[in-house]
Order: sequence, then structure tokens, then C-alpha cells
Amino acid sequence: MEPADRPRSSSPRELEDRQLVSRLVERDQEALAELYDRHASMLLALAQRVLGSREEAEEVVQEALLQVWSQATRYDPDRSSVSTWMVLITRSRAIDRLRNRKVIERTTVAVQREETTTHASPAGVGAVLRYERGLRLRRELDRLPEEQRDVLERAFFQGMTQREIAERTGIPLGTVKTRTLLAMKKLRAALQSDLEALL
Amino acid sequence: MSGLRSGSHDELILELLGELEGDERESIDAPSDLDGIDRERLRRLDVELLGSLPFALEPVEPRPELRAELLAAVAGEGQSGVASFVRPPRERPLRRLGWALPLAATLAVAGLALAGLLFGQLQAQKRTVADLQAELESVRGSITQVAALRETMLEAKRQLALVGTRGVEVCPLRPRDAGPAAGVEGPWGVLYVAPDHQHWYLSVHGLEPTPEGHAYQLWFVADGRPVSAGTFSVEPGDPVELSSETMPAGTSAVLVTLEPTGGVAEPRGPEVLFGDGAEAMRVL
Repeated sequence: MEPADRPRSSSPRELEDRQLVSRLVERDQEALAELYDRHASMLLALAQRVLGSREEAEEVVQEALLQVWSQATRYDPDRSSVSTWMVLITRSRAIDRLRNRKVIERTTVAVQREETTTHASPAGVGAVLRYERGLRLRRELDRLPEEQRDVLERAFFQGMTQREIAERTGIPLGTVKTRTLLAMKKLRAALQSDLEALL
Repeated sequence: MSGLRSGSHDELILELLGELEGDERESIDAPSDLDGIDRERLRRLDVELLGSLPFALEPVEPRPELRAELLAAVAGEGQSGVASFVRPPRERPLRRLGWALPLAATLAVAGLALAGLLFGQLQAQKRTVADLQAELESVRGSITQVAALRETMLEAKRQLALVGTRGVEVCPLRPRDAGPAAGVEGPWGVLYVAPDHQHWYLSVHGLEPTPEGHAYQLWFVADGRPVSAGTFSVEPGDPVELSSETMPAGTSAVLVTLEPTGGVAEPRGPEVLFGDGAEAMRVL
């Protein structure tokens, strides 16, 4: 629930996204097409980062957007922005596939190879805003110490638990948790204004 | 994660930050750096922070067909009641290649392996055939040798029979100018003549090896005229043994001359051995 003394100040883009989700509830296919146009490239980048396969990533994005279409009534703006909702759905499906494969390390290598060839220039106002948001996030991620960024990316993009990270890297579990917490705190502080715009 | 059911955000955070001890949890929930933000809002910020991470990636533009396929799947919902992604038929060369290339590579490797196996088997069979042929030739050679040995044995047996025949006559051969005692050092021979005066056996020793372009020739002297009984050669150290079932009637002497290869009609070369029938003696 929103505190009474802190009125919601969602960005216009976020409000447009929520309107589109409302139209999904009314089975408006054009709304789905517009959500696709606004988020598909970001969702595809996420799925490809997790899976390392362009083709599998496209299938995951398709499945995720069909889930958005069929479960639009479940979207709760008090719990997340639309983009985060779609990100979490896409990530969840991609991680499920990844775990089924049980070849996390191989995927990581493949993703690192593919990343250098998939840059796309932004187009349109929405894309520019998204691009600027991405730039700020990348800048803040780059400012993180390597060990803190590593544990955060392993957790989010590879779906590894803290314990799995500790086992894989040979770092004590407590150290992994501490690094993750520090990374979250720094990013949250640096990106607070961007994050607030999503609420 | 299906939609945003109650608790799904917490699950995500726990998955990322999970298993935190009390003081660790407090360190991230502590509002000191967020100016009095309440815990629920803090949690919401964490969720949005995680949801923002993909924006740090370079966007990846989907295939143009992907959008149409998505909308086609949604459009089919009216008929089935459930939207499902049914990929329409389309060219997917990369996927086909992705499937076909490993298969082709596998088949190629299997083919090469099979070819290699067959080639190896063929080579082994060729070696076996060659070995068998060599063995067959060896057996054939052995058979020939056995046959030759058998013939030699039969001849020796005939010669022995002739030599042991009652009434055989024995005629010594030696150089004409040598005395009776000279045979110990020079060439010499013994002619055995059966009582029928037809079968004979000649044993010669001590002849020099046949010179190049020449041959030794045996003569019987009958009625005062030499009649050729054939030519022969001498290898170093080998004795000469000759035999026949015919001898000219009235033979009174025997001689060996050295003639050109192939022999001559009448003796012209040097005489190396001579045997006088008058010196022959009947044994047994």
C-alpha cells in the first residue's frame, strides 16, 4: 500500500504501460503489440543473457508475453512497475529453461560471446528514455567493485542462489551475502530517482 | 514466477539476497541512506532495482516475424479459448542447420569410420590372400621338390639296381695319357654296363667345372666310330652321374671330350676321359 504522505509519482511512460496492461484485460491485441514494441528488445536481451541462445531467447520472450496477455488481470501496480513485472516473468521462464539444461557455465561463455554483436540503436522517445536508463544503470554497475557486480549478476542472470555462488566461486557464503547486500545498497542509492519513477 | 501473486516479490528478493542473518538483513533494510523510507517501499525499490538490471544490457532487436507470430497466437485465442504460441510454418534455416549440421557431421564421421573399418578389413583380407598365395606357392614348390626328389630317388634306385646286377661290367675312365695310378689326382670315372649291353650308368669325378661356352660330351665308340650319347656340364665339387637305357651295339670304348655348348657331331675338342672296353671287367 502507498503511504499517505508519499503520493505516487510514476513517470508518464510507466503510466502508459499500465494503461496498456488495462487494455490487455479487455483483450485488446493492439495493446499487446504496443507493449511488445516498447519492451521486446529489452526482454530479448535479458533472455539471451540468461540462456546464451538467440533462438531460445525468442521463444522465452514469446512465452512470457503470452503469459502477460493471459494473466493481465493479475498485474498489481502496487507491487511493481509493468516493465519489472514483464522482466520478472521473462527472467523466471529463462531461468527455468536454464536450470533444465544444467549447463550454466557453458551458457555464460556463449552469452559473453554474443553480447558484442547484438547492439541495437535506440529509436523513438521511449527508446531514448530506455536507453538513458540503461546507460545510467550500466554506469552504476561499472562503478561497483568487480566482486560485488559478479555476485549480483550471477544471482540475477544465472539464477544462482547465494549458496551456489559460494560453492562455484569458492568464496565463503557470508562474504557472498555481504557483497550482494553492498551491491544492492549502492545501486539503490545511486538509482533512487529512476526507481521512484517506476512506483 | 507467474504474474505478481502475493509474495512473489519477496520470493525474488529472498532468492537474490536469501538466507541472510539478522544483522545482514538489517544492513540492507536500514533506512539510514534512504531518509525514512518505510520497509515496504524499500522492498519495492529492491524489486524495481532488480527489474531494471536488464536495461543495462544492450537491447537485442527481435526478428520482424516474432511480433506477427505473437499476435497470431493471441488471435487464435478466440477459437481455442487459450492463447498459445503456435509457430506458423516458416523458413528457419538456422534451426534446420543447427539440427542438420550435427546430424550430417555425425553421419559423415560414421561414414568415414565405416569406410575406414571396411578399408581396414579389405586390407586385412588382401594380406590374408597374399599370405595364402605365398603359402600355396611354397606348397607347390615343395611338391615340385618332392617330385624331383622322388625322381632322383627312383633314378638312384635304378642305378643302384644296375650296379648291383649280377653280370654287370665295370669299365674305368681316365685321361688317355695317364697311367693306371694317375686317377687318384686327376679326373676319373666308372661306367657300369648291364648284361643286356643296353642299360648303363656312368659316374665321373674330378672334372674341371665346365668352361664358359663349352660342354662336356659323352661318346660311345662302336665299330670304330664315335656315337654321341649327349652333353653334360660340371659344377664345382659336384660329381656327374649319367645313365641311359640304350647303348650302341658293338660299343668297344667310351670317351668324354670338351666341346662347344650344344655339342658336335664328331669329337673335335680335347679328350678328357677315355675308357677301353678291353679293360672292363665283369663283376659278380
